[in-house]
Amino acid sequence: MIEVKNVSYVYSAGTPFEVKALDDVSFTIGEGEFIGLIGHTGSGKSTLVNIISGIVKPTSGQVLIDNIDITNQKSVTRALKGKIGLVFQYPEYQLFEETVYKDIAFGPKNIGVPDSEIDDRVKEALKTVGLSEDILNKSPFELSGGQKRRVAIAGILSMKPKILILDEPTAGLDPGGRDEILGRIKELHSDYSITVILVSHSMEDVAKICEKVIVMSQGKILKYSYLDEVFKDSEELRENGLSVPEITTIMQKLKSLGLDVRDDIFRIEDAKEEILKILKGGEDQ
Amino acid sequence: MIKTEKLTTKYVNQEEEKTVLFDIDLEIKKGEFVAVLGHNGSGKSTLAKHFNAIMLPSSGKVWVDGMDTSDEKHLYDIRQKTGMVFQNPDNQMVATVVEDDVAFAPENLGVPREEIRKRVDFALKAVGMYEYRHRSPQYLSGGQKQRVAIAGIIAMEPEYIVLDEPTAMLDPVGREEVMNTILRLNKEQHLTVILITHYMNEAVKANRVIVLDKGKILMDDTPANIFPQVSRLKSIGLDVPQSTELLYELNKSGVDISVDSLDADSCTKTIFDVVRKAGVTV
Ligand SMILES: Nc1ncnc2c1ncn2[C@@H]1O[C@H](COP(=O)(O)OP(=O)(O)OP(=O)(O)O)[C@@H](O)[C@H]1O
Ligand SMILES: Nc1ncnc2c1ncn2[C@@H]1O[C@H](COP(=O)(O)OP(=O)(O)OP(=O)(O)O)[C@@H](O)[C@H]1O
Ligand SMILES: [Mg+2]
Ligand SMILES: [Mg+2]
Repeated sequence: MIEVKNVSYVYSAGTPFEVKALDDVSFTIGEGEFIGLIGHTGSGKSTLVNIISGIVKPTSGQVLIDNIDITNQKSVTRALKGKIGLVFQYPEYQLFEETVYKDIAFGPKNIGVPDSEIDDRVKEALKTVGLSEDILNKSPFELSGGQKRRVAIAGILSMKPKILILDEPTAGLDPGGRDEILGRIKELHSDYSITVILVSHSMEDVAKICEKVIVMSQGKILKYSYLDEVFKDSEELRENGLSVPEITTIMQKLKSLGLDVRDDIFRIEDAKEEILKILKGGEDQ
Repeated sequence: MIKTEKLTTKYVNQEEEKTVLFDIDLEIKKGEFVAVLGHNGSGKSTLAKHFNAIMLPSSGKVWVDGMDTSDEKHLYDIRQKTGMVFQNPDNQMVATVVEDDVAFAPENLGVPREEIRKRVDFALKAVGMYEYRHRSPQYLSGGQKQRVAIAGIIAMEPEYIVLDEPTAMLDPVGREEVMNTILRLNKEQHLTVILITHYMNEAVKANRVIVLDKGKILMDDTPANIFPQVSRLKSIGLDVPQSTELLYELNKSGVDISVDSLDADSCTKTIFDVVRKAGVTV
């Protein structure tokens, strides 16, 4: 369980450029939940996930992971080792070894996974992100943007964290890769009941795989609820730099034209079923 | 016009060489808005880097307004004509203050001071970053950095603008704003735009879509002709807008509906008409 209690964060405190990136944020994420984290650029998402991962200390407030206070300096490394994995917003921040293999092996080695197991972990993670083994000996700097992103994700998956946090993991992925990787993460979530926090600017992706969504705006939590509640008010979302999925816009427009359709639909399959149902109604009349 | 002829490119490293573009023949005319799509590693960024001579062909030729990019004496003129926003904005921040960063290219081009001021203010407002002009780019969020990088290219006022996934880190409203700015520059100032993207609903706004697959041009056509080919696009790792996909799925389920809508408005209308025709009362 992740408990965030009254967390605030200030960048460049005491300078003219002081920024309050997080303003008294509190919420709880239960074990095994799959949470989407959305919000306008600069709303504080990356700052928040960096704090939850223990990389950054909050200016004030507390974060408890399974009842352990990670804002308390001393306990942090031991308690967190291998438990939380964060994929950074920029893969470049994460890739530093001379080969892809070493980069993906770095995490598990670092948390003390036995050498005999490392090779399997690397290959399994590589497969999950849809890369072939001939890339293993390449330098991460000789890869395309999307390939780097995939390696960065693999480098975290290879640690098999119980809490997986992904900061805009699909930025730069091609659509096929995006669906495949999100699908695999969803499987890991259901097979091993890991907790997942997905930061994303794609409302479509969030609607496809998340159960609940946290909406941030200007360093505060605007909403924390299930998909239908979050995507209900498209005006409010727009005011906060966000939108509803395109499919939801279509259903809302159909409804406003007078069709008797549900407008709380976020997935293409559901929209299709709803429209087929309406068409069937026409035949029966 | 940007023109390539049998453009072939290899990356050469210690152990091996790898060809990543094969015999690309391409003409991009002044004023066009071209979207380039393709799976990760298909060669999009590599291709784009040839348009302002950051990369040179291993064989074949690239011309920008008739200037051969491999001829060193044209380098300055080519760089002045073609501006590029790279895939990772972090790599292209050069100054320690946002407005200096945006002023960098026009300064290098010798644009007069007052003119630079005007351009920088215009560009920062166009991407919604004017309030951040005195901040350090290094201390911005991912999406804010991306906006600054785009402002830099707008302030440069090139004739050709190459944008490599410029909206990947932007929120939905920001993405829309940047797309509208690009469209406006294309329509009003006849700026030629080459947009690399993984967002299909951005690609539908272009007049032309080029699909790269494993270093070759697989499709080159209008969005209206490309996106209805749903299964073909999916088979090469691409996608279609949700609007198109919904119509495609309805069609597969036996509904007599055409799959040619590329956005929510036109999709809504198509569905509404079909539903009315089926005798559903509204
Ligand atoms: N290193 C830093 N120094 C100073 N201010 C910063 C720094 N990093 C971020 N900020 C500011 O803190 C605020 C929150 O930034 P954060 O990176 O958490 O946003 P975000 O929601 O992740 O945005 P994005 O969607 O663009 O990635 C922004 O106003 C940003 O300008
Ligand atoms: N510096 C480099 N050295 C060696 N190979 C490279 C280098 N840069 C790219 N490549 C390889 O060239 C191919 C094309 O890369 P490119 O960056 O052009 O792809 P892309 O279509 O832009 O992909 P993405 O959608 O992931 O950005 C890839 O297979 C990549 O691994
Ligand atoms: Mg961020
Ligand atoms: Mg690229």
